[in-house]
Amino acid sequence: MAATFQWSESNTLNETVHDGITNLNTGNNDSYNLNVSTYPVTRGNASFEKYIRAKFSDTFTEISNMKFWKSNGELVGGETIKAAANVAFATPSATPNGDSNIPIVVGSALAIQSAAGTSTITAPGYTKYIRIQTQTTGSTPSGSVNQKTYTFQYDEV
Amino acid sequence: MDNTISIECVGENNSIISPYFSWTACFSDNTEILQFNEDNTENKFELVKEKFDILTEFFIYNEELSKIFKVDLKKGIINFNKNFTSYAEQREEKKNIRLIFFRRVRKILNNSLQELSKDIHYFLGFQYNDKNNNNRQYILEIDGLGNFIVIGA
Repeated sequence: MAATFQWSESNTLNETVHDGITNLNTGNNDSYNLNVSTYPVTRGNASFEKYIRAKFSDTFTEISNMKFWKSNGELVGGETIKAAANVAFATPSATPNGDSNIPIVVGSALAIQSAAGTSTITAPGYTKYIRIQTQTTGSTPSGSVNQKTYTFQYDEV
Repeated sequence: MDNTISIECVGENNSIISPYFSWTACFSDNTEILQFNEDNTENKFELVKEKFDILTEFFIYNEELSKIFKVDLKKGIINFNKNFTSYAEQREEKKNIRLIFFRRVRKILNNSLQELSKDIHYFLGFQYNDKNNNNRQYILEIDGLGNFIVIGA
């Protein structure tokens, strides 16, 4: 009963998979481990969508009840973070999407499914994708936005 | 102070090697399955599920904390620590007693995916059918320090 997981991000038209990513930064480029200084979101625009998923490995029998939400990090004026769970991969776009605001409490957290679309994972593998996009308006102040904190929760045996 | 915990379900003591709560399952055929073998390899809980119908006792324990919880699946009782004081008395006939066990992992990460905290709670107990065939549950939620509350009764 000791599953481990890492975050994975997929990019480009070809769904190029990058396991073990080291940040969840959004920016003006479709790339993993993105440097926000190099690819900042231009005020009034949206970031490229980010397609991430958890990858479980090691010894476990079943992973279930997977939830994801933004647990901290105040948004600045005009800044929103959109998120959707269990989506199919599509070439990441910087066009503002119509996803809902990312949940900020466990009670309304995104319920994440396995890659097969089931509520449990019984063998090493991925979850379905979570799509994240930062959207801004003309009123969003220039400069860095606040650090965000995300929580990922799951039950394991 | 003696911090060792011995589990005796088939007459042998089991060494404890995990810093977290580990489990041992005991069965009516006088066999047992430990989460960790002597060579430190880990058994899946799936092995326990395969023998659920003859599971009689299930322990989780942490040697460093000197804390041990036992679910007695014959009586429908949860015991805590060495004296095995009962926290769920057998007030009524319990039929079809089944183990409830999982752990809830909550990882809090920043944008850089640095783990700001990792919180693990163990959920341990049993469900059963009462004399009217209603399904009932007793569950303890146990934190990483062995503190616990009853969340289902």
